[in-house]
Order: sequence, then C-alpha cells, then structure tokens
Amino acid sequence: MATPHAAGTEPAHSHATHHASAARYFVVWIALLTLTVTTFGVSRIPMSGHMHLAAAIFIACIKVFLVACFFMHLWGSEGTNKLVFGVSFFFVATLLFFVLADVATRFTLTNSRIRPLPDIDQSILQHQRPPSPEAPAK
Amino acid sequence: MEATSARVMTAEGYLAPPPTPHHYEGNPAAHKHAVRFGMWLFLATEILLFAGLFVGYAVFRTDFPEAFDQAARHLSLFLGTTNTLLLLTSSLTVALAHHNAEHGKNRNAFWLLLVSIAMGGGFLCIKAIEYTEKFREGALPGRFFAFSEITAPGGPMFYVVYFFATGLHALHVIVGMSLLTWVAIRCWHKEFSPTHYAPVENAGLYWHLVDLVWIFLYPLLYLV
Amino acid sequence: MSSSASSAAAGGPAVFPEHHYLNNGTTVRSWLLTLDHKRIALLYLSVVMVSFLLGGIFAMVIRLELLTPGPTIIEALTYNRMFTLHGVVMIFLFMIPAIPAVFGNFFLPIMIGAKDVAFPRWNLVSFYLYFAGAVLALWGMLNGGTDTGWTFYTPYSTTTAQGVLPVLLGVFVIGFSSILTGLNFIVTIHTLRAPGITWFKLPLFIWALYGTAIIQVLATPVIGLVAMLVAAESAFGFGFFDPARGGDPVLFQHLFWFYSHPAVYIMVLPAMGVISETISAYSRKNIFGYSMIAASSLGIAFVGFFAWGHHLFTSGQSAFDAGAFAVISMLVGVFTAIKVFNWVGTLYKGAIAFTAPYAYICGFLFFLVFGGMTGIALATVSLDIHWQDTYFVVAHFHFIMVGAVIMGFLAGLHYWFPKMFGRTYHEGWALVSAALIVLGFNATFIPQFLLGNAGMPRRYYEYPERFQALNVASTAGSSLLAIGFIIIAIYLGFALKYGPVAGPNPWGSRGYEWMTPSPPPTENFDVTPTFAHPPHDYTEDAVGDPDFAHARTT
Repeated sequence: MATPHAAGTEPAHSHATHHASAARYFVVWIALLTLTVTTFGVSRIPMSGHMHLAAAIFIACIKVFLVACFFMHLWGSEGTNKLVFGVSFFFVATLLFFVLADVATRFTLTNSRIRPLPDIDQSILQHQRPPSPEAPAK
Repeated sequence: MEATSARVMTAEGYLAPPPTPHHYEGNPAAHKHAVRFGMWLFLATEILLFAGLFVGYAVFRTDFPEAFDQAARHLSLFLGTTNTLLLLTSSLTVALAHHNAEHGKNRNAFWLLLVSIAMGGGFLCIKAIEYTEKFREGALPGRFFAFSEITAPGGPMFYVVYFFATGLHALHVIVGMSLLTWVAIRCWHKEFSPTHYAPVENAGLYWHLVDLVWIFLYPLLYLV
Repeated sequence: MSSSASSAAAGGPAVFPEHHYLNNGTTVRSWLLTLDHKRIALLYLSVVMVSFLLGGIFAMVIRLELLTPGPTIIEALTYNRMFTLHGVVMIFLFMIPAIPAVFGNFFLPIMIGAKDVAFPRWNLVSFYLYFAGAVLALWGMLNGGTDTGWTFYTPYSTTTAQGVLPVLLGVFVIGFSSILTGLNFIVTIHTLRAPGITWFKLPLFIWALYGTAIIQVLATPVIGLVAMLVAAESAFGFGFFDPARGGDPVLFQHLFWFYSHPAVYIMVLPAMGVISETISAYSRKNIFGYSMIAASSLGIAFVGFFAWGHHLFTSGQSAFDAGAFAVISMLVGVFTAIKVFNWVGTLYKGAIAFTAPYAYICGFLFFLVFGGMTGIALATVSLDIHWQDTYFVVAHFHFIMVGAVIMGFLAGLHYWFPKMFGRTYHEGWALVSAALIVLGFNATFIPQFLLGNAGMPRRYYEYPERFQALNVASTAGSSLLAIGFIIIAIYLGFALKYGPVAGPNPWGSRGYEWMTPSPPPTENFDVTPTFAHPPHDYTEDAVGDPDFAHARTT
C-alpha cells in the first residue's frame, strides 16, 4: 500500500517552539497588556474619528500579529498554515472593501444616511413593549 | 477519540501516544501536519463567519457616525477593558498549558487550563452584567430600542451589531470553554506527551481565535 | 469506434474481484457507520439522487403550470412554493454536493494513491449533517410553505408569515457539511499524496476539487451568518436589513452573493474537472495544456470571489461598484476560455471514442460556451438592466448550472460507473438518453432566452398570450429531459446487478484510479502502484499498447 508521504511538501515543522522556554509567552503577554493600555490611551487623545479608527485598527492588528505568531505558533509553523491565515484575512478585506465602496459611492437618493429616522415617541416605550414590529416606527 | 484503554503508562509519567491512523501509517509527521492544518482551515472559516458582522458594523457606522459615537460612550469602558485583560491573560495560560502538555507535564497543563476556563467564566459573567444593564436601559436592537440618551438616528443599529457580535463571540467563548474542559480532563489522565499533544494545541488554537475576535471587537465597540 | 468495452475483453474475460469495498461488511450498520470514503460517497449518491428526483418533479410541475397563460394545474401560492422548493433542493441539496461529495469522495483518495481522506470521521459527520440539513430544509418548506425563492431576499423573507426559519437552519447545517468536505479535501490533497505524485502530477479532477474546496471553506461561513441574521430578523425584527430602522437590504444581497456567487463555481468547477478527465480518456490523447487547466481552476476559484456584485446591478448598488464588478465578472470568462481552448485542443487529432460520456462532453462544451457568452453579456451593466429578473437570466444560469454541471455529472457517472460498481451499462441506451437530454435541454432553455429578451419576467405565475408558443416549446423540451433521465435510471439500475463485468479498465484510461480493480478493494489498491507516468498520459511509450500508437502527442 502506498505509504502516505507528503511528497515534496513543507519542510518538517520547525522545532523552535519546542525548545523555547515559557518566558517568551510572558513577554508576549506583557506586550499585549501594554498595547491594550495604549489603545485605550490613544482613544482618549482628541483626534478626528477617522484617526481614532485607524489607530485602533492598527494596534489591534499588532495584537493579532502577536497572538497569532507566538501564542498560536504561526511563527515557525508550516507555510500552509500561514497561507490559510493570510488568505482568510485577505478575503475579509475584500468583502469589506467592496461593500464599503458601495456604501461610500452610492447615489445619494438610495443612501439611507440622508433620511433620518422618524422620532420615537419615548412616552409609549417607557410603559409598554410595542405590540407589533411597526409600532415604534409610527 | 482514540481508545485510551489500550494505552500504557510510560516511564516518563504519561500515556504512550495512540497509534497513527491507518491511512497515515508510516508517516506520523504528515498526520501531525494534517491535524494542525485542518484546524487552521477551520479557524479560517470562523474568521469569515465573523467577517459579515464586521462588514455590518462598517456599513452602519458609515451611515450613522453620531449614533455610533454616542452609543460607544454608553458602554462600560471599565467592564470592557477588564474583559479584554481577562481574555488576553487566559490566552497566556492556554499557551502555557500547551507548552506544558507538549513537555509531558500533564498536571501543570491541567491546572493552567482550569485557570483559563475560570477566566472564560469570568468573562461571561462580566458580559452578563453588561447585558443586564443594556436590558434595564432599553439599549436594545430594532423595535426593542427604548434608550432616550441616544438622540442621533440609527441608535438601534449600533445595538443590533453590538448584540450580534458580542453574542456570537460569547457563544464561541462557551464552545471554547467546553473544548478546554475536554482537554483538561484528558490532561488529568496524563494523555499528552511530546509526540501527542494535538488536542491541547487545537483547543488552544480555538481559544486564541476567540481572543483574536475580541481584540478587534473591543476597540471598535468600546473605544472609537 | 466500437464500444470501448471491447478493449477490456482483449486480455480475456474480465473477472469480478472476490473482495471489494461493496462486500466488505453487508450489515446496515456497516453502511451507515462506515468510515470508508467510497461507501460515504455512495451514501451521498443515494441522497443526492433522491434530491435530484424531487427537484426534477418540482421543475416539471412549474413547467406544466406555465403551459398556459392563466392558471393550469396549481394555484398561484403553490406556484411560488414550487419554485422555492425547486431552487433550494436543486442548489443546496443536489448541485453543491453532487460532484464533490459523490465523485470527489470516491475518487480523490484513489487518484492520489491514499487509503482514505485525511479525517474519515469528519467525512461521515459531514454526510449526516448534509442529511439532517436536507431533511430539515425539506420539512420546513413543505410544512411552512416557504415562498421566498431560494435567495431569501429581504425584506420579503423577514416579513412573510410563511415559515423561513427551518429552511434557513437547514441551509446553515448543510453549509457546515460543505465546509467539512472542503476542509477534508484540502488537507487530504496536501498530506496524503503517494510518493511520486507531486503537485503537477495531480489529475486535473483533483485540481478542480482543490479550487472547489477553497471556495467551500472560505465562502460558506458567510452564508451561515446570513442565514442566522435573516432568521433573527424574521423572528425578532431587529432591523439589520430593514431600511425603516436604518438597516440596509442591499447589505443582505452583498453578504448573500459573497457566498452564492462563488457557490456557482462550487458547482461548475468539479464538472470542469470531470470533463478534463474524460475528454482525455475518450480522445485517447494527452490533455493539452495541463498546467494551464490546473492554474485556471485556481484562477476561477479566486476571481469568482470578486464578482458577486453583478447580481446587484439593479438593486441600488453604487455605479462605482457596478462598474468594478462588471469588469471583474468578465475576467471569469478569460479563465473559462483557457479551459475550453485546451479541451478543444485535446480533441484535435485525437482518436475519439463516441461513447455516452463523450456525448455529454460535447453537450458540456456547447452549454458552457453558450451559457458563458450570455454571462459576459449579462455582466455588462447596461444590458443587464434590460435582462435583470427575466427569463434570459433564468436560461443563462440554467445553461451553466444545469447544462454544464449536469453534463459533467452524467459524464462522470457514466465514465466512473464501471469503476464504482464493477459492471458496465448498455451503451446504446446510454447514447439514446444522452441525445434526448442534450436535445431536450436545448429545447427547454433556448426558448427561455427568447422569452426573457422579449420581456417575460421570472417567477411570474401568469403571462400574456403572446408568450405561450415559446412556453409550450420549453415545457415540451423539459419532458424530453425527464424521459432521458428516466431511461438513465432504468439502464443504470439494471446494470448494477446484470451488467457485464467491467474489469479494471474498460475504457483503456490512463487515469490513476483505473490502476486498481473494479470495484476497488477497501484499501483502494491491492499492491502499491508506482505512478510512473503523469496523469492523462497516452503517449506510446507510457502505454506500451499498439492501440494507442496513433494517439501519440506531437
């Protein structure tokens, strides 16, 4: 019977992680905590909303990189695993890009942004749950 | 999965690894790679599963920037940050458990997993406190929305995204805790060794993924 | 060209092997709890065929109803339920698992020299998830009267009183099954190739399955999420897709088609893989442009992800997105054309055996090119505005999804039937039914192109008198199709028990799967094959058979 053999595939799993001491995990953990505090601090700096968003996503990406590479051992793992991880983020970005491109460039009349919602009659809602889905919109 | 009854205790103090499945016979390295690779592919599906919610967040944030700004300020920053720290720390203990299991130190791994599960439980408790608060305020999605402090249009849309995203994430926390419990029991029985630790590794990978999702959710929902 | 069964007889009468996967355990339990990929493939085959029968019956009801302009045999509401049933059953229950889960499960491990797929248990789980999802979706539709169409467009699906929850849950569960199959295939191809089978010695069917599996893994989770969101919407009215609450119905269409457009390639890529296998075997010639066909499989899988917006041209999507998606959609045509040219190049100067599978290959090429070209036309935004939601679109996607995919499925079924069951079928009847199906298909859907162009909208219960002639033609064609399928069921069913013994390689094929007895043993190969030659290699030296001397490539 054919012996399964990953013919010509990836080099054997790097054993770097096997010999690393547990200390590296603590270093990564400290870095993650620091970045959490940083992202919190940055969000308190007065900036435009876009800058806040960009900064928050940038820091989140660094944290994801750290967790993926070290806690999840992607660093030194088989190339296929890195590829899978990268490709999945690529397709998330694709989905985000085209949907946002749509929302951002829509003909204004079809864009929900310009049509504010009708005000909600708060007095009704304080006392009773709306009986039907249409009730609060009236 | 593997029949544990037939496995004997080695001198090093852990059970001998189960035999390689018949279709990988003679090539345990390929089997090891297959198991890890399969898990990564599964994680890719999880990432794409959450993608739709992030897209929803992006669209509604573009449509209703003021409402999202107001609503974010009404979330408890303290509870959110505490939860972030809890999850990050539980990721550390899971990574350490993996490290210990890989070196055959099953008991250490067991206790570390137990701590991780406890932190997962803590996360859920805090989440429950936050949810209770939202229900009390009427800061709820769609037709249940009755929160007077958000004046800009689109307030309910923030809470749709908030509850879907954190709810789906909480569901993943529960699944992750179950997986960790399952491997913790196997650690207690000293099943893992330098040549057989894939279940700890894969359960750990799942837990780290839950962490990854939260790393994005935390700033998007609570901070910006 | 006489029937290729004669080439098997050249080496003496073929003998049915004594031990094979079919008789290794005969209890019900040994089938229902099997971990053997070949038996799981047969489990899939049985459920998939039942689904196809159901979907076909629903289609016939629709066609009969449209025979006359007014009410014919069913009421308007029943009509809506019928096309929903037809769509959901054919797409989720039949087309998506048809080739990957049946032929992929059966032949992927054999074609790479493995004993099984990477995770046999998950393979079985995948089958039962599919089964459970199928039962749930069917029950939900029959019981709840779902009438949204298979696309579940909001706001109708979130506001209708008809039950959509069980169907959505069923779709969600089937999605899990699809993910597991795809995941299993990718890992198997990466880690279980036998020594000597390098990436560029993989059979082209495997390359097609690889592309398919990538789509299954990356796109399916999104429809899972969409199904959950729509279910929550219809249960609680959260307003995710409801513009009155600030939601966005176009967002639903984005998320839905992010899966459902690539899903077309989940259906058609494996069919293309089958054609690559069979076209080489029946023209007795090396496949032309192996690496190009392999690369274009991945190319289609990749580009297919960026084309979803062409379903939203008239839905309020921005002009910028529409333009971008139109251009990208046309790129799919480039990769498809690469395949078509290579297939035709394979036929050139080949020693063609005009068997039933070859007839399906011809049908496939015609339908794919015709369907593909109308697809290019539909991807043009300005033209699409005229054709959107008319029978033109219906005819277009039936040419690809029924024309191409079913031709691929039938070609594979006939080509591999001797390998799977060890017996051959009656070639004459096979050719008759193939002719009926190809003709019937054209008669069914070419009138629909004309109807659509004349402005008949899809999913309408009644239509003006002037459309009747073409509708009658379409219904008549679908009856031919049905007769063709019934003939296939009869002679294949007969061949299962009484067909002549096939022998290991009745077609004289050079594919790796023909190097083992028919039906294969449980372990797939009795002795380790050497895989000395590349797949699809019909050169004289490799074959050493004078019959093939004239089919040498130059």
